[in-house]
Amino acid sequence: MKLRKGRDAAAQLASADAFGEFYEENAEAVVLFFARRVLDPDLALDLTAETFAQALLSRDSFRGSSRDEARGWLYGIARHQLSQYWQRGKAERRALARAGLAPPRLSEEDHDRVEELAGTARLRAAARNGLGELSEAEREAVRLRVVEELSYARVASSLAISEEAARARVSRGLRALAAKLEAARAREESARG
Amino acid sequence: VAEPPREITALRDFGLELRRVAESDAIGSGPGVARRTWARVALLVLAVGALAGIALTPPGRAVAERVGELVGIGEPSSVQETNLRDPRLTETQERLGPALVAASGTIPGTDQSFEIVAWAARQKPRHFSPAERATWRARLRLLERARRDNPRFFRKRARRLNPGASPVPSVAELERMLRERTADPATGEPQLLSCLGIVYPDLGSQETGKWCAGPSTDQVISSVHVFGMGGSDPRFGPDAPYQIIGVTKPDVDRVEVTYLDETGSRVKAPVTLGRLDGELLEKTGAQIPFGFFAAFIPYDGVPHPADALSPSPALHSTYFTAFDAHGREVGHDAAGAGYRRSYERNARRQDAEERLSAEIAAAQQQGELPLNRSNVELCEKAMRYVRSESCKDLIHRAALQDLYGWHTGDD
Repeated sequence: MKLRKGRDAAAQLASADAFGEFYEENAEAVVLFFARRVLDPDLALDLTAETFAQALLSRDSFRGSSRDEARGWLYGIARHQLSQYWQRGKAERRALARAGLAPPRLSEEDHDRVEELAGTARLRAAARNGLGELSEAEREAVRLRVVEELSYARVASSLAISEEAARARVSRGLRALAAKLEAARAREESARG
Repeated sequence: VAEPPREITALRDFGLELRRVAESDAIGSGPGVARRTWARVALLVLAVGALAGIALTPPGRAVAERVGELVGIGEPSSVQETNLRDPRLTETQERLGPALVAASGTIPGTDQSFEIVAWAARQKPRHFSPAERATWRARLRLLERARRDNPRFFRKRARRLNPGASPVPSVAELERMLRERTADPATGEPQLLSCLGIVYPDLGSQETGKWCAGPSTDQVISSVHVFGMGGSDPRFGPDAPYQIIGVTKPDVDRVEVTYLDETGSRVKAPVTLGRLDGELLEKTGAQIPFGFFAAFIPYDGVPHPADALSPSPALHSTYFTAFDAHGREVGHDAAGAGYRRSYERNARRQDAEERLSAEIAAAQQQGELPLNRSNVELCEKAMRYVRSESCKDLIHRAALQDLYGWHTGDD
């Protein structure tokens, strides 16, 4: 990316060429960011498109002066999109509409490519395997808390243990699961070179 | 010959469209066309349901989110610029790489998300500005006087400057000491630091606490930072909780944060725990591993520190206990006692600031302090508490004219 350190970086992001380069440098990473969270390539592409449309519309508000800041700013928009999605159950398209952009569509080949790059299939498998490897007590605690969304008090009463023990059990289970997922992701990345 | 990487054509095509719009600046306005994508949510639930063998339940969404949170660690934080723009940090420290997400979560009982971010930094070689030299010269002069008139005050202050040294150092010596303190003892180069902060992406570049450590940190729990969120930023809301972020040794496995609620019962606060080590440490470019925790204590209705200097019962009763992997207690800390003292000290300091500011304002004539012994003595006292341009100017004028013991000569 041609963003230079200094006061003119924001102005460079405002030019069409620089924004295009900014997109080219970050688009794939952003679509994978979403794909690993929503585990759905089509939805990830929708969220990516809305994120970049938002970035385009609000590029005047970017006040940073470095590559890291520009990327951080973009991920801020992406996280907001994700949070809106979790709250509303739908991907926004306001910015796309305002910019007059059509929502992109993934071909079957693109769909497979995103899945491959994001490693979503393997992530799901790793999570399933990871859960399988937890002790029965931890797996049940994680299931009640995360899947059934019960309060810790109810998890504790369901398992006939103290609330403190329930918290510790869920925490240990999630940490073990996180380590397995992290290892799976690292394997993915090293396989990609 | 290696096959070139396959492109995601939809991304490429969308990029071309985006560039076309950016070039034409043909940005229209109109109502959003967001449509409900329940079909996708169902797909997501189906996909994620496999996670626990339980499909087609709305809570599946939570699993996917949890998976996302777990694999999101190590990515750039959405708040990058704050630390670069914070003059308190840029004056003394220099960030060396991006701020990466080390943990994330949501404040209990709310949908306010937070990120704990980590980055590498380096102490900047320390040099005094002309204004700092003037201030230090005044402070050292006070100290020199205290050696004669107030030995107790002298012992207390002189120890802070240079343990065991009885002569008051010169400004130049002080600069050298400061450089030595911020240098790596092994290399003599500016010290490398591992830094940690907490940010609220939904609120933009909001950062409410940060901590940097060099290689000498050896306490099990160190640098617990308690912050009354509601008193600092109205966007958090009047009933915002107290934010707590603390740092531990990297081998701490669990931290308990407890406080007394309004009924006087001791309650455990949910704790987010993490570590900056391994791959994440490497990604940030930092070298010093550590553990960390964040917790939020419900607001207890007591005015926040930024609004008033009243002590808060919730904070006074807050305890932190660290455990190792075998469940053994390895360290503890209490926010309460420290905070009570801090409130009292702050209150005394605020009283002194107000009194001395009022005295300086009363002594001013047409915005300037007349040069006389009484004002010079007032300013000598005030410079311990107040940053007063009038006083700086007065001392400068006294020094230029070599009056009341002030001189312009360099130390």
